[in-house]
Amino acid sequence: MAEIVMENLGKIYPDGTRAVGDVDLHINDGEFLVLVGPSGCGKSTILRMIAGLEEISEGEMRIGDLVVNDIPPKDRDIAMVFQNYALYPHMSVFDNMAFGLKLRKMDKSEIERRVAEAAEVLEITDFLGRKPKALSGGQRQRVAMGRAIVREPKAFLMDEPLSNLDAKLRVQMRTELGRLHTRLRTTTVYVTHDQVEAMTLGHRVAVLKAVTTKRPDNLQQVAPPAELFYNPKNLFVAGFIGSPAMNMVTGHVEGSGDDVFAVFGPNRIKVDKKALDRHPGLENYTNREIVIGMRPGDFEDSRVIGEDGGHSMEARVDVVEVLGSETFVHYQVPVPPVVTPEIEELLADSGGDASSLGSETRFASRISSDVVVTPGDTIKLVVETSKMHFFDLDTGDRIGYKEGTGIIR
Amino acid sequence: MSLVIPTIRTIYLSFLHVSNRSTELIGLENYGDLFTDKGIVDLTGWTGIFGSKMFIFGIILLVIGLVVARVVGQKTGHAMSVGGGSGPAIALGGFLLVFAILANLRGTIFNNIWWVFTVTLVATALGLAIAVLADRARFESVAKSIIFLPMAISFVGAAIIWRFMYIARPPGDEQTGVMNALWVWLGQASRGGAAKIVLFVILVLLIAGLLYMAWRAYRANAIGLLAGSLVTALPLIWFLWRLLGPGIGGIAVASDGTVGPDTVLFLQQSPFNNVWLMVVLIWIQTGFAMVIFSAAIKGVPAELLEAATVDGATESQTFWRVVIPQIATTIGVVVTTLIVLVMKVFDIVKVMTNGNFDTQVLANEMWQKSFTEFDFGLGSAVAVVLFISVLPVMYINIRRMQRTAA
Repeated sequence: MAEIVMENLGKIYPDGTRAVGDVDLHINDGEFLVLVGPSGCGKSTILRMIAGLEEISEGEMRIGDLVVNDIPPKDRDIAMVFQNYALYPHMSVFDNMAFGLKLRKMDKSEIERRVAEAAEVLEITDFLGRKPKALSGGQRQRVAMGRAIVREPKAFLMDEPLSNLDAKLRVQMRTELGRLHTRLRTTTVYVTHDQVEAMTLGHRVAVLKAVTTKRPDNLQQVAPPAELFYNPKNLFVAGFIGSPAMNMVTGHVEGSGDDVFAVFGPNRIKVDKKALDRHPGLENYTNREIVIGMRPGDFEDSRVIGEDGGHSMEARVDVVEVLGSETFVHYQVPVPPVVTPEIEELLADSGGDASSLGSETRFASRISSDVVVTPGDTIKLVVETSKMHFFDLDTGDRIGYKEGTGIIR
Repeated sequence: MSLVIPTIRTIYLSFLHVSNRSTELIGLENYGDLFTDKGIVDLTGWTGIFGSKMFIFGIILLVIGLVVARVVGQKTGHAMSVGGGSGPAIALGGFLLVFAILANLRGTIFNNIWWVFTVTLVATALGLAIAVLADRARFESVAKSIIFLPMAISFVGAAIIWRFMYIARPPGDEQTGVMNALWVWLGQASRGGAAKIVLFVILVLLIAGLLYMAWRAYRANAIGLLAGSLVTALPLIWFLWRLLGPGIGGIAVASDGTVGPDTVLFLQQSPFNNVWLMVVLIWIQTGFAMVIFSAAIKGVPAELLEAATVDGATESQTFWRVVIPQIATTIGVVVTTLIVLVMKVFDIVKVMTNGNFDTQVLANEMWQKSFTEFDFGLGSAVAVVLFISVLPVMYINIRRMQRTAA
């Protein structure tokens, strides 16, 4: 068990392309830290740099007290779980788990004890004699975990370990991973592109973005899941975390004192005092164009909770998704979509560009399934304005961002 | 059908005695003759085995390797633990041992076994080594192309090329064969002059480099590399000692004390003329082995190698314990293919020595018995023996193919 510290970490490939830049990250002893981000954001590269599979071109990396920049993987005392499990096909499950220990010339009885113990925890004792080929995906995943556990390393590194499992098994293994970490308390760095995994597993989540020549740093925000959700540092984090994504629209705020209104398109919504408190300095942006963000979960149909003092907006529903426990409604707001450098990048990642977005912004809202909505209906949506988000249009940063102010209840 | 009829016909022929105008059925007499013929099975040289340097050296290596394996094994509670230090010693020791035995047992059959043993193992090992070393190196494709090139040359063509390489002209004359030209040049060089100094410097540098590598390996605790560089340095040191002392290369000291050039009759001096013939086939087949191994090595998932690295394996441990098991089937295919191919070797021997000077092999024996001595019965018997010895290998190959298909 050990902490992992990265200072100004950077990775430049021999051909000159930069994959990672300016990463300052302090992973505490026993912490479960998740690196999350879209593909190409450098999250796997950082993990591989911790493992020693990728050379460190800039900065310093420490595991425990040891500066590991020039230390080969075998002397770093870390264990890694790979996306495709990387089990040795010619070895039995037992030998797969024991391989690392045998290489360290550990005593036979000790090897047997550790493997038996790990197999017990992972419930794979019955398969110890089998070859990986004869195992199901979930069982292989457990063996890969077991191979890491028996080493009793300073840290576990996991590179999208659940992405090859089917949806149901993934949810199950995710829970088990969480339970396992509670039990072992080993420092864990976990890479995923799945924000649900990130949010459910991580003590803290580091959101990463691909580096560009203009902006050579990956790390956007490192925070506990709830903080990421309620207090996103910038538009990238706000857009990446949460599903469906946060509704963002250009608009402005007007009024002063307790009577501040968020205005976008035809809508003029009174903003709750709490939201103003969480965006200190918002008054300086009065009547200037900013980005207004509202989570889909922060809406409700007025028929459910009743009309109240000007917190509502009208919406003509295009699409209705009834999930049983809740209903998602999709509609358009007649304002051109937000285009900031951040959004452009986000768009490029999904293969589109700003001009293709048209003159309307798509909104999604989650409402109670108690009311029936059909496409074409015009409904009145009440906005939970205490949870509104405001961002600077030019920088994409949250207005008045302050660490640790995310959780409002 | 087209295979079965000639086979049956050959087996039938092998039971006949065919002479000028009569043909009689003599049963297994041909086979009896075959295995009692001094030219085909000759065990008289067996006492020479124990006197041969190779045999003794092989035994020493084998014993050292086994002792090291036992000592290392005891530390981890295993009966034996073959690792970086002991593995190569045991392999090389065993190879030299069998090589020495086969070099002393003469006759066509033992000669053929010697061919199969040597060419198969050396071509496989060389092919594997080159495939591994060239993998992801800078000039990989160029290096591999050059080594693969001999595959394109016919056996007869290769045999002729190498005959020119080995050719020896009278000692006083200008040598046209590359090998003898080098040999005579070495002899002259070791008698003094600038060439001797250059040779000396090169040798000393090489030995120093190897010793430095051994020292580095010792510091890094890489026993395999340590042993490897020391073993490579040994013949060079011997070479250096010969260069400074009695001299190396083609020197002949006449009875009156005058020193003149001397040549090696590569194709005439038994039994090692066989080895010079084998070199030709190894030269051709290494490319084949290399190409197949290269593809197999590239097929090993990178993630597996990374897993081994994180698990704490060194480069060589990863190679022996992860890569080799992964390409084991490929090694099997290459080895069995080579065994069958070498067993049937004919062209090279036919062209280079025609089986003279103790270099006879079964395929050429078959040819000579049938078409120069016109003893079709005996020739067919040789063919049947050859056929039967190939069968088990083919059986293994076919079984494996069925298993992979299933």
